[in-house]
Amino acid sequence: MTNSDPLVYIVDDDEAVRDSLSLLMRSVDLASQTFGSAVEFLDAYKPTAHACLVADIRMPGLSGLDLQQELNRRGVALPLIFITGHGDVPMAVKAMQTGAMDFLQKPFRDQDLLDRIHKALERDRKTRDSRRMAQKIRDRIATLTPRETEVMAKVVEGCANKVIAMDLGVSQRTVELHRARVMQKMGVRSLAGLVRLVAQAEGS
Amino acid sequence: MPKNTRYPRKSDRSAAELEALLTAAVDAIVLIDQDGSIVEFNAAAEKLFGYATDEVKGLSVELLMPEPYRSSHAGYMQRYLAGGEPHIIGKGREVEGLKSNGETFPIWLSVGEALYDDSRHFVGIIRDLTEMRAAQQQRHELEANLAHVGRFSLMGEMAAGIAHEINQPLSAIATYSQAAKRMMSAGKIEQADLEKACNGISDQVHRAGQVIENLRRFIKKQEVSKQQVDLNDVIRSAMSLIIPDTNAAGIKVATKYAEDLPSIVANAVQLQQVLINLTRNAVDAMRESLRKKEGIVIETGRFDDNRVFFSVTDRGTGVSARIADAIFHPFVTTKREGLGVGLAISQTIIRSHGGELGYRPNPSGGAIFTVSLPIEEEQVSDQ
Repeated sequence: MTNSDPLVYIVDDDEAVRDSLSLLMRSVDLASQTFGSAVEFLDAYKPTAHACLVADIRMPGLSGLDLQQELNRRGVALPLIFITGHGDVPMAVKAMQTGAMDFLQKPFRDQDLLDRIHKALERDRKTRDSRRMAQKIRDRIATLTPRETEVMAKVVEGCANKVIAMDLGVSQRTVELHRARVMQKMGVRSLAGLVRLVAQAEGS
Repeated sequence: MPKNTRYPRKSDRSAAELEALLTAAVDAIVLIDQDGSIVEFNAAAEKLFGYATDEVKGLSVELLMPEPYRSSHAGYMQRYLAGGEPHIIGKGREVEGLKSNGETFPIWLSVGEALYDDSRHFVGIIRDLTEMRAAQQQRHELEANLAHVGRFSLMGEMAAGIAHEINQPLSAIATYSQAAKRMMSAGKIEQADLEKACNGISDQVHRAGQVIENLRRFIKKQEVSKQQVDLNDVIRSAMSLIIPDTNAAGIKVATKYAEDLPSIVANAVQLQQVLINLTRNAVDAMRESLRKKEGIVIETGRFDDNRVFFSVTDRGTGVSARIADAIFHPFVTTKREGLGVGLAISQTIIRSHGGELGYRPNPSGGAIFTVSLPIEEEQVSDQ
């Protein structure tokens, strides 16, 4: 569920590589934006776009690894595919360890790159969906009263109503009422559903 | 026994002494009169030029000279006898001799003037330089071979950067053609896109070809000859081999070219080799440095009145005082890979150009290697 067409960012200091990659994206009806340096990209990057990033690992100035570190620092979860020249395998390994999604050695087969781009875009979509879902759940949690929030926490922990009533110093009947309102506000029918929602909100 | 038979008259004795002297001399000696006719021709001259004394006596000394010396000789003599400046009298110079068998050979000729029998005479003392020249030639060839081997080992060190430089256009070519193919199979290729792909492919083929051509020129075995070159041009054309290497290491290179540099006599490829060597060292020294972004500076300029220079300045780890004196010796290295012959070969190359390669620490940290080269190398070797 995305609200925009997917976009492929291409960052490479080599004009011909950039140019040919953008033509390849056009050939499969993918929109792309190209940048000659990591700095240009960072200046222009909008976190709202549904996108993935294809970057050269070696560039003068800010390298691909530097770019990755900067994105990590900014908390940007953009899936990143590195394309590397000959002999960059150690660099690529390092990049994978710090969260790059994939790497390809130049010259590569177009299909290999496109497969990875589709995989990256799929991952970005999932990340965005689950972030959006988590936000929705957090919004619902925000509508609970403090007491309801307390009750929900204990319910999710697996406490029986009787135990909750004792802990909170209220009647079991009161706990049941709170619990019903929590289920209603959170939009779930079962305990399992509630547990899943809370886990989803905490997971993202 | 008459006195004069036991003790020859003074003039007879002098003649005998002169005869003995001429015969014993190791160098060829040729005496001519003011018309240029040969008067004396000693044993060494006979051996050197392949003529018997009797054959050449009375003939013009021009017989012993190949062109262009032969044609200009009479003119020189006339001008000198008419009170002109001596070109060769009283000093020596390197010229060529001509043997009876038609062979020419390098000689060192010194000429002195003598006045007797009321006429002016000239004595030429001739030393054969054939062996010395051969030895020099051999040394130059050895130096050229050494330089050639050095270039190969440099290429080995630069292989990663060069491979990358060829991979870039190959990668673009593959992508252009694959994009065009996809558009064609989808039946929706536009004229403009097709043109873009074709232009891209042909440009990139040319680019890859250039990288290989530059390499080929660099690796090629060089003539030992030196030519008039512009130092800035030499350095500019080496940059195409340097940039991939520095890019690969993520290090910037700045160049500062001095204007109005006089040309020098040099072997361009060998100077480029030295420059590349120094730049490689700078890259290695900066790889681990935190001042990477400050980069390497390559500079040209006037060293002093008689010399120009180029220098490579880095902000790397510098040369430790412990080995600073030894860095130009072969097999002295701090690198895990590499033989430690780069600087030694570079120094050999620069010295064969009559120049000097020197190191000094960079006051702001790092190293400065400076190559100074004489402006008028040709005249130095000609005298």
